[in-house]
Amino acid sequence: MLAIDLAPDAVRVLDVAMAGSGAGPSIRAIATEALAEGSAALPQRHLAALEKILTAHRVHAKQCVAAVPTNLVTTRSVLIDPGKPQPPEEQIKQTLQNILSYDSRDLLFDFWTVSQPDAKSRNYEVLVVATQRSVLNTYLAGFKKLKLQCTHMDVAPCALASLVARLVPQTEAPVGTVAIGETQGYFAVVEKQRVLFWRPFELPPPKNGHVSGLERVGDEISKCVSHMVGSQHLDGMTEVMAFGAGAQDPAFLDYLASRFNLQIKAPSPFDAIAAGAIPQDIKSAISSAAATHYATALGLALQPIGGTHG
Amino acid sequence: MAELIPLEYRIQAARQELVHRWITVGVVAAMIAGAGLATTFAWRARKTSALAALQKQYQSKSVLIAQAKELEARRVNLAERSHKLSALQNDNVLLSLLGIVSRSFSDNDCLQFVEVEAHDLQPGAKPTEKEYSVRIRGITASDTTHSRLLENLTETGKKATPRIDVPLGEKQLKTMLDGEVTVFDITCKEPQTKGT
Repeated sequence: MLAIDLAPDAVRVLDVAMAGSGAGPSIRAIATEALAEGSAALPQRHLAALEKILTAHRVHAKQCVAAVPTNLVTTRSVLIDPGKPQPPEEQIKQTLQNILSYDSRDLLFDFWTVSQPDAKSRNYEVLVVATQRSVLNTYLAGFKKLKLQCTHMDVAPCALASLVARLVPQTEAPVGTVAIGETQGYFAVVEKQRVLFWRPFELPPPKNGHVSGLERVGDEISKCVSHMVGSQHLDGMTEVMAFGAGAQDPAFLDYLASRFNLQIKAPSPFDAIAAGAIPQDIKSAISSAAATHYATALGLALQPIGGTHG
Repeated sequence: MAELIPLEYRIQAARQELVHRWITVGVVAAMIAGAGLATTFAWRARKTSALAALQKQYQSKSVLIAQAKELEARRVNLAERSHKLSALQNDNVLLSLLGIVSRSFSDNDCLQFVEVEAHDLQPGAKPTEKEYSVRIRGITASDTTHSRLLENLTETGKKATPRIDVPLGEKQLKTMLDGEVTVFDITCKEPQTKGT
């Protein structure tokens, strides 16, 4: 099976073999292809890059799971009122129609509960991820053309939630995750494989491999933390995990640690799987700075089949 | 985790998978059925050839049996004929009657046809079945030679064993290439026993 991270700047693929129940996946191949510059739409550039990978590496997998690029997904917290006659789906649809510009018939969304009703109110909060059906169909048609059957399409923060659950399985408290790309990133708060909140942000291009706009990242994280504390009264977050470009830059980690007074980690995603699950040649070929880019792809591979939302 | 694949796509994929599964099952079933048919066909071909061989063997044996029966019938027929010839050779009545006819004819007489009927004269046969007769047809030179032939037959028939009674028979004159001849037809029978 292929775990495909359709990142905004590149396509990253893990060819994984799913072992028996509980054994977890083992890595067979690993590949990255940067997106070609041009005026073509993002799905076409993603599919072209994926075709290059499949051709170059002679991948014969038939099934895949993929993460939709975060810049093609809209996320929003929606308060559901059970007292209204409309079901939650209709309430979410109405909310999304007010904030999204595209046709409601082209709307495709999924959601999960992030807060339970309290004593004062029966309302509860759900986190919604929405995208365009036509965009998804473009990806699915492209996969089909490449002789791949896509069995699951997710968003990157949910994949990271599954990865974090394997990296720190004993942690009960919410964990913050920062994923940094070339020009975009996001901050997400996850708890027990469930994304409680996530917010994308844009970044200036990195300089000499170091994260640019540290203040910008810090501000975005600060906003998210403030929202979480204010809306869901979650103030138990004690650690943040950083993945992506420059995530292992000591200056970046020191900045985050000093600003938020939290434990900042930048683990290798491959720490989440058994030592023997990745071939030695791949392990030795890939540096820790490169390995962190495969966090989303590995998180996809670690997601339980038929798992719960969030 | 979120699932962003549209429901209709998942339904279509599930349907395709089911179709592929059914096609696979169908292909496997067809292969098994084909193998079964091929096996049955081969078995039937073997049995047919075996049956043909048996039929050929039976036919050859049947011809032999028919030939044997025919040979047996021919042998039986030959035996019967041999027996008949043997019986004729030992038939003293027949020989005696033919001897009467031959001794009675002279150079003036020509025998055209002789018919001897000698029924069962074997010992143990019923008296009513001991009947015999001699019918002779021929040509004689004249009425005189005809009378002499009748006398010779009568004399010889009285002395011979068994005896025969010679009637006058029928005669008629008939013109032939070398003149007028007498054609006669006489049927001699055993003498009638005089009753009391």
